[in-house]
Amino acid sequence: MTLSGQPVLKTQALTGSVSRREIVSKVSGEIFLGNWIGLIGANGSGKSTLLRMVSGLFLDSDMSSSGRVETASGVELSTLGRLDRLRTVAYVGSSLETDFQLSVFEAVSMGIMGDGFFWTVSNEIRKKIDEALNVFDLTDLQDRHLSTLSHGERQRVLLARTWVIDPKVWILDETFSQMDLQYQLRFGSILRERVNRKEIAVVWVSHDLNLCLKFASLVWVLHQGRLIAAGEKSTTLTEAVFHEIYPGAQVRVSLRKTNSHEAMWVEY
Amino acid sequence: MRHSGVKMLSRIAVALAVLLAIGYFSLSWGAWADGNAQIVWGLRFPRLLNAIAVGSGLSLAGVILQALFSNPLCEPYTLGVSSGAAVGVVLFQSLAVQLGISSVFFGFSIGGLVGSIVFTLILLLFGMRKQTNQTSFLLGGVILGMLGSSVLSVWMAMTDPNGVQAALSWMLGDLQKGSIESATVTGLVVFFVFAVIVLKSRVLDALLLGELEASSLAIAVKKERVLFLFLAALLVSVCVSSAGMIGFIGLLVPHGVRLRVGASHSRVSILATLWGAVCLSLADLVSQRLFQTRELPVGAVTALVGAPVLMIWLLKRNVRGIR
Repeated sequence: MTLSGQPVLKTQALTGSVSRREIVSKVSGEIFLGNWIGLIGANGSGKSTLLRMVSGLFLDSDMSSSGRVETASGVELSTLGRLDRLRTVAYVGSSLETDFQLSVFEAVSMGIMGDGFFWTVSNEIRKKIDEALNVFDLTDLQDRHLSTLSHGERQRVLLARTWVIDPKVWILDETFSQMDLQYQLRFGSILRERVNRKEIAVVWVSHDLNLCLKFASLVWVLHQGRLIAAGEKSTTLTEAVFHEIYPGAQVRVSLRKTNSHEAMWVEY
Repeated sequence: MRHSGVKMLSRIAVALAVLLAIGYFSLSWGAWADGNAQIVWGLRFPRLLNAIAVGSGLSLAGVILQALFSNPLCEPYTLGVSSGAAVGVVLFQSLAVQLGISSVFFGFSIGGLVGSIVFTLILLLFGMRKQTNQTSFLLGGVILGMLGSSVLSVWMAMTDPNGVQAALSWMLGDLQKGSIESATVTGLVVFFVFAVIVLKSRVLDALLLGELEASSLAIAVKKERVLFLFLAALLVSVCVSSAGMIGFIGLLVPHGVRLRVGASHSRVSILATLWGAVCLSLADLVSQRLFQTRELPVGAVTALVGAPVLMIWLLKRNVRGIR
């Protein structure tokens, strides 16, 4: 269905404001399959609001918004049915809290919700859920209640749920923030491989700049609600940009290029 | 383990239902033997039907409200709809006496229906506003409830002892008020809402995680919220305007079921509806039979049993570290 060469998601002049103050201001950008975009910006720069708008979530109550989010076929995202929308773009947050006894398996299987209204799960979906549990190392935890898990474990539940949904664009809002290092690297690599095969696109926010740069190839820099720079990370993320968005922070950007590989990291 | 829980709970419910039937039957045996079939069919049978319909309705309303607000403490009282019904009942009753008209229609209190509809409309308008989120919505319900009880207090302070007595019987619940017709209508409403809830059980599951998470599963949170609120209010208003305010069923039964089978609504909604009927019928049997000389208000029985049981569950859960 995806037309090749077309962006899988395109935003046009996205603007979100609270009582005339613009939190996100006229952001236009394109996301292609095979992109891994690191969204960089200071606290309050509008990252989370932008991500929520891109994924079509409801916004905070007092916010008004304008602009368009279009899918590959030129349709506005908000006009799609629930499951179509979810399979185009899924927002994944950083925490999963509930006062109720919901098991890991139930939380992961929520991804397919709507496909069947009864308590039976078809074999195909069951397989998909088992696969997701396996990929994110949750098989042994599947009967545990969410409330007994650590934050990092719950973040793995969020990732597994999204794996079952299988969206084209994964919007990861600090989803890796509390995970152990080996999991950050393992799951990052798994997603990166799928990005490389052009099966999916990832847009992510991570406060760990080096983790962000390890997996992202493109960056969008958000400053006071505006997209002030976008493009390849090595050419876009200059020390000047860091000075602008994190004023007063001493940052040194290092870059090492070989034929097959490009590594970029920051020291502070 | 969860599925064995489902089986176990269903079996116990059936066993209790049989016991209850025997209890009711033995209760009625004397009247039956004396040839007073009228007492059995005219009084006890409608009362049992009413207990079944109202019990399942209150329990199902609790299930809906707890998911809707992702708050385990919600029950029909929380919305304020039941206190709206109670206010309607007492105000309309005194009005009806003065005008010389009937205050009861089909076994439902007309004032109760009007009161609950008015309060529901206020809540629906509030809930449909763009600015309302889960917490402010819940607070709105609580405040409406407080408003209702203060109106009731003012009325009780100003009226004569008879009026106080009548108001009290609505505030503590009385299953004898209903008729076969009201039990049938309540039963139909419960069945309708139950069918919708079973179909929507996965949406309720997602709402347990809060509105943002539900929204990130592409659920139209505000639309669903209005639907669930409407369904819950419908249940509460038919239950309260036929039997008065009966507490704890909507809290106790859903939690008890969740303790055994987890929070998934495909299981909880079915079992809680079943167990709501069993528990209220049991409570009503106790309220009739505990003392030979006089009957207890059924709402007092549910509260006296419900509060300690709930407290024990809370303590046990914390000891095991599961919530």
